[in-house]
Amino acid sequence: MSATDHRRHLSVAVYPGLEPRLLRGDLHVRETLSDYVARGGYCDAADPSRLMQAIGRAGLRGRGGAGFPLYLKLAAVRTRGSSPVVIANGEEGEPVSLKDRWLLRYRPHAVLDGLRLVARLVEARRSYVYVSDEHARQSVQSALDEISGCPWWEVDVQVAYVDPSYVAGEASAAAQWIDGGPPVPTDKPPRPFERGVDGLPTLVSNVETLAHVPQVQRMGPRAYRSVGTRTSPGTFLLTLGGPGGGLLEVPFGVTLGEILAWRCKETAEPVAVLLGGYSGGIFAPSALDMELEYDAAAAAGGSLGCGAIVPIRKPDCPVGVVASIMSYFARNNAGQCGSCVNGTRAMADALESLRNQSAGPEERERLRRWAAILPGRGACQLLDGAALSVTTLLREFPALVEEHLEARCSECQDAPFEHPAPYSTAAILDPAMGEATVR
Amino acid sequence: MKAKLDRTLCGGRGVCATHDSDLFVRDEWGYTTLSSNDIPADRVPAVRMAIADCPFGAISEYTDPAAAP
Repeated sequence: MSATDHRRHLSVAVYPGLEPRLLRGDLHVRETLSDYVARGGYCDAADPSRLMQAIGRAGLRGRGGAGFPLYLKLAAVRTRGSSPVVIANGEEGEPVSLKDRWLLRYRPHAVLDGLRLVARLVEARRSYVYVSDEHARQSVQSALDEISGCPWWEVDVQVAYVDPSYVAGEASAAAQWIDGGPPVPTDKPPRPFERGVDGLPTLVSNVETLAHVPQVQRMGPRAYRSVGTRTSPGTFLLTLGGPGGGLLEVPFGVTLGEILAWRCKETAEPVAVLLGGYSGGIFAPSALDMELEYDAAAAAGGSLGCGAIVPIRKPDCPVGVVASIMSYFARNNAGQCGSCVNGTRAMADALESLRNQSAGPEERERLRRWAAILPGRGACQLLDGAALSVTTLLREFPALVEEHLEARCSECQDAPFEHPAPYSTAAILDPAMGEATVR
Repeated sequence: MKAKLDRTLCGGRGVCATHDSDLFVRDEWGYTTLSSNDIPADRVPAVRMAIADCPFGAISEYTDPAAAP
């Protein structure tokens, strides 16, 4: 099943042989309440303890970046009691990802159904859908208007709109913004589940994670686990960059090589792979054989993050790509933590001189040192991701780095790679997909 | 005792590190991070001094919200 929105070049497809859980046949039409109900949505909420058990047994992990088990997050908030708050986090700050905005624009009810079930599980006082995309906001608001008259709809949900930024999607930034503060991360402890909106325990969950909850409820944990791997069960939405890319639903455990064989037969072999958007590391082509799931990515020293992956092909040079990403981090961090503000700027300067082939071995040593000492020194994980891109660049591409020290990279000689937000999906999604129709 | 150092407030003066440079670890620009939120009993006096002396009010004693009365 696949469809391409030719006007805006967004290709949406389901992995061959996979029964889709989040994508649908009519891929570019907003699903209405009656469509969603006809597909089995909004079915009677199960006994909360049974649903809680099912979520635990299904092994549902957060799709926002950390891959944290939803069951543990729910349990942490439940034990705190006192009328918690739930935030469905759709502020997709990662420039390479678009799956959250797609879900909110086209399947708002799947997200609201998950939010409803989770809000009930933790006995939430109120809930929010946190978005930074005007079309997503309209879509969710329309969905709420559709549903508010239904007698069985018992959840208080508000839409919270924030201007898009890289850091606004971090969980504590979402809680602080809804609380009337600036949309930037706060330092931990406390984490939002300990003290969030109005000082109440606050569960912040990615919108894709929430959209999986009704699936767990309907299918049961055993069927939910029928695809995926033991520690990363189910399917996930993969935003694949580059030619042949788009929004894909795939089972955890497929390799990138298998995905490229399916999607990118005509295109050149990648020279590198960007994992987890800007923050999960850059890898040599041997990563094509890695199973795409949380633990395998972590074992490889990277992170699957929010499921955004970019195969990098010539003439793009991995050194130039990481230099551009670091400049992006230096410009788009929250401007709060001194180690992050200074560290990302220093690493960006060093990487730019490496890309310009004017760096010496001392620059490489500085980069190595910063990548080792800076992780853990910020209130959020931006600095950790920035450091990881350097760690993986130096580890996976030692010969290429050496080439740059010796001014032998022909790509960087001719036209050094430089982009304010490399491989950003903004051009694909904006102006909106709002009225797009199926081809 | 539990303590926290809010990195969004730290201005990098490093007064805290003069009280205990193992707990308050500075980077090369002077900004500090707290190596552990759990403060051993023998380090509590130094942490209290750091709390009192931080010009940015970035260091505080920390109480888990669930444990608060």
